[in-house]
Amino acid sequence: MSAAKPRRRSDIKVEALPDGSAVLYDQAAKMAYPLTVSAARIWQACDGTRTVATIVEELAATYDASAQVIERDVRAFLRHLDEVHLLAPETEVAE
Amino acid sequence: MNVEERFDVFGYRFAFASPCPTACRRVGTLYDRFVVSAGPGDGRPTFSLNRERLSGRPMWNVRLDDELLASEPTLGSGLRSAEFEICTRIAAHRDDRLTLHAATLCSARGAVLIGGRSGAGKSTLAVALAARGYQLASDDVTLLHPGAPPQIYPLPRSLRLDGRSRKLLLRIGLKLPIGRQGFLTDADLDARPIQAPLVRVIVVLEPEPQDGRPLLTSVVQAEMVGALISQVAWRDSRELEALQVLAQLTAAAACYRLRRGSIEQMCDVVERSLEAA
Repeated sequence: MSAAKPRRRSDIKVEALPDGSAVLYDQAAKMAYPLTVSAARIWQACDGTRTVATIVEELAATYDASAQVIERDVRAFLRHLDEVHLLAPETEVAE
Repeated sequence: MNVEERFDVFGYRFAFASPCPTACRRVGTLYDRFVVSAGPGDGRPTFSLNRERLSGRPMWNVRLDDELLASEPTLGSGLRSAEFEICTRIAAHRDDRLTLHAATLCSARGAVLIGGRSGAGKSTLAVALAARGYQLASDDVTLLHPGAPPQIYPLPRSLRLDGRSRKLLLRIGLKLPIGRQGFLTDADLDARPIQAPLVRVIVVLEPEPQDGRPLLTSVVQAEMVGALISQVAWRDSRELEALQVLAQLTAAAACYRLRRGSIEQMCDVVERSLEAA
């Protein structure tokens, strides 16, 4: 698995909601991004200290799905975050 | 002779004057909860609707004091223009409140907000629910005051129902008391005064029509914030504040997307969602 440690941009505002979902707001781009509960957890985990493998392990402990499925979903979400420029520039998201 | 009425709608004080008794009666009905008497030094702005000749043609002219805002060919379109101008200024006057394009209905269980793009069917569904006993507070604009939860201030508006909507409502037995001017208000539907109610359910109408039964899908609160953002009027520097207010609103409510079906079935699913909230 990749050794990359994804890090979220520090200037992105987060509105956390009581049901565990969250909305991200990129003030520079004036764009809002709603996140599901699981996506919000992945976002929180992107603190620059965890590898993708670690994030997958943490989620696998909570969700009733195979590590393979979770890894696929985590990588897809990280690619999306990268595409909309919500990750710090130095973060490399492997396929 | 000009007849003048004075109003205070959520802090925006204005007068409406017209020599046409029908115009005064219709505007008076729209804002009947907000009528006030004149106060000392009452220099409130005055909207007027007068039939005047412009370039030889008789037109219904909407003015704010001496400024011409709109010229319309009929009394009905003149009333709608005047009401639009008044509504715009009421919303602008309270810049401490967020303007949300959503219908608001109230019952003893709480309030339902119905959001969706223009033409999605908010007004039609709102009027159909009003026929079932819900109080129609607004079919179009609701002001949100920040708080946990936010206070809502539904703005009275004339109901905008096209021919298709009126036929749909007629099919369920609802004959609307639309006069010759086509200017229908929530007060015409026997709406009673609304105290700022708690929003229990938020429904966003999907734009695509669906054959068959309507589909009500529960959504996470963040998804509802995302859906409502496009229905908010805010100033450029206040997007973050708007997000916070929407987050406060959705945090206290059950949130759904509603794919359209027949009007009766849509009313049924919305009623059940409020019972379950």
